[in-house]
Amino acid sequence: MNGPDPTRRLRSASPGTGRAGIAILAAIVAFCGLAPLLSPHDPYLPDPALALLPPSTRHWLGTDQLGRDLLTRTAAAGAVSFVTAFAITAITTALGTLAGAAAGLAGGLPERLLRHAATVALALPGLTLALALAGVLPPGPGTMVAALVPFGWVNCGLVAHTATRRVATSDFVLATRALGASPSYLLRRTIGPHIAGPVLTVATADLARTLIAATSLSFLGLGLPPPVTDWGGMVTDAVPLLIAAPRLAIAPALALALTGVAITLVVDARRLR
Amino acid sequence: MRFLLRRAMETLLVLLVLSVLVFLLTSLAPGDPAEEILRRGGIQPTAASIAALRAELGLELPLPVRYVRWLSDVVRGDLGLSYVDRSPVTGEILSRLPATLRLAGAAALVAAGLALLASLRPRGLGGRVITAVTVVVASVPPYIVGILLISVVAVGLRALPTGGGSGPGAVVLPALTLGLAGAATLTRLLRADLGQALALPFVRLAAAKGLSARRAVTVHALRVAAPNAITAGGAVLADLVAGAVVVETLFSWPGVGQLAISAIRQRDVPVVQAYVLVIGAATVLLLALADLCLAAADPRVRRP
Repeated sequence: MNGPDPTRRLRSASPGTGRAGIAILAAIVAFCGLAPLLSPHDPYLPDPALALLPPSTRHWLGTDQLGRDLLTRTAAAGAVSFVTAFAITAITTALGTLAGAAAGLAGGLPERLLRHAATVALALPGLTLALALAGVLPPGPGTMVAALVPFGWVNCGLVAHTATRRVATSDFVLATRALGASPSYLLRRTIGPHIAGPVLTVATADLARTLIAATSLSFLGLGLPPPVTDWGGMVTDAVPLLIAAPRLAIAPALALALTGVAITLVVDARRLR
Repeated sequence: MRFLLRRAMETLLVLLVLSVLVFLLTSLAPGDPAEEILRRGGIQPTAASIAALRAELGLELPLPVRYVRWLSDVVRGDLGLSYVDRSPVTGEILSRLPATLRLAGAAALVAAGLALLASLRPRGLGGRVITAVTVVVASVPPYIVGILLISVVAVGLRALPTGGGSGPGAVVLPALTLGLAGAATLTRLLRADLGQALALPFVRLAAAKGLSARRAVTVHALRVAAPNAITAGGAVLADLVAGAVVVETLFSWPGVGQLAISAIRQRDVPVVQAYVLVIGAATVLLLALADLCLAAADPRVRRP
């Protein structure tokens, strides 16, 4: 690249942004994981007598239209969002890394096949197809995976492939090969540590994308079946009451926005290193 | 010419893959289409009537034959009949498409306008604000942005309607919601490329010889910075068309996205199929078009 990248200064406005991102993210994860356990309120049990109470010392953010504590509910929904996003990203990262590294190591036909598959998958409208799949299949965790995995592996696959190509012809890999190492040993012990860095950066970015995609499906009413819901589902439930009680929508919206920004800070800091 | 041919073949291949995937949606849907149609028509399905309708729809034929039949219908503009009211799907899609295009077009204007504003005057207050906002917006789903806009502008300030397709102000909030997402990608790229282009010797020479800053940017630097922006522009436009479904749902905008969502709720598979096919094909073609524009603007791309 010629000359300094003008966005570099902009994105790393302060040196600690990456650490700040991790801290925010850790705080949100802790809140989502712990609040439902510590709270005296049940996030799923409706109580019509308590419907739409304003914020008070008993209910810090008030209650929703079914009388459930909004703070506890936001945390519980967040836990669902995180579990979904982490699980799907783990699957796509594992699949993509394995396919990319194996193709990079094998070369030849497998490599060309991977590249072609990636080109086609990138050219296809992933969210639209995910929407159609989620709409046609019965709602549930399996459908969510089926909708988001087929197009989620591509970024990790390409990065793992490129990174593997870069080390596959280096002396230490050739030497390990010459000593008779099996492909699986090569992938685990020799290639793996060298491609882990870039793959992890892409996986973090994929986590944000998956979180957005999964909650978008929920927002459209195509996510997990009720009463379990994530932030997207909470926003959908709150839309009819947007004028009467905007806090119902704003609580999950702000939580999701904060999470997205925190992940972006982490990704940018990693990329600049 | 070879580049054109290769790109056309690639696009055709992707469109074919898309059509196969869309076709397979019907077989993924649980239940028998013939039984579904009869039940929705208010007829108690019997083994005989189901068998008759299956034969009429050609459901007994092998899958590849059905695919070819379906595809030849699609190519002739026949997207089949809705399960719900047996009306032609093509007409329904065509009547909803203008609203979606209007929204995507307005959003594209917002995105391009904001990106240019932020890139041409990066040090100005507007440039800084737009950059900061788009960095945040890029990591947040569009419906969240929409919710916050509605809460502040429509509910808080009562300045604009919260949704619906009528009235001149109705397009503002949905277009802004959708456009901000696009502006995020464009601003990032254009700012970086433009900054580099402005540092190039020939641009600085032109400025030193007394060319106005505005002309130095628009005539010299923008041309150097264009290639990435063109590629990104195609992708952003494709994203706007595909992402419209979420914004349409939030703002009750009467486009194809809302049609698709209500079709999904009613399990009206042919309408869902048509939506995916139309939006998918539009996405693929927009990406290909961006590639062609890029090749026209930057000859280096045409070399293999």
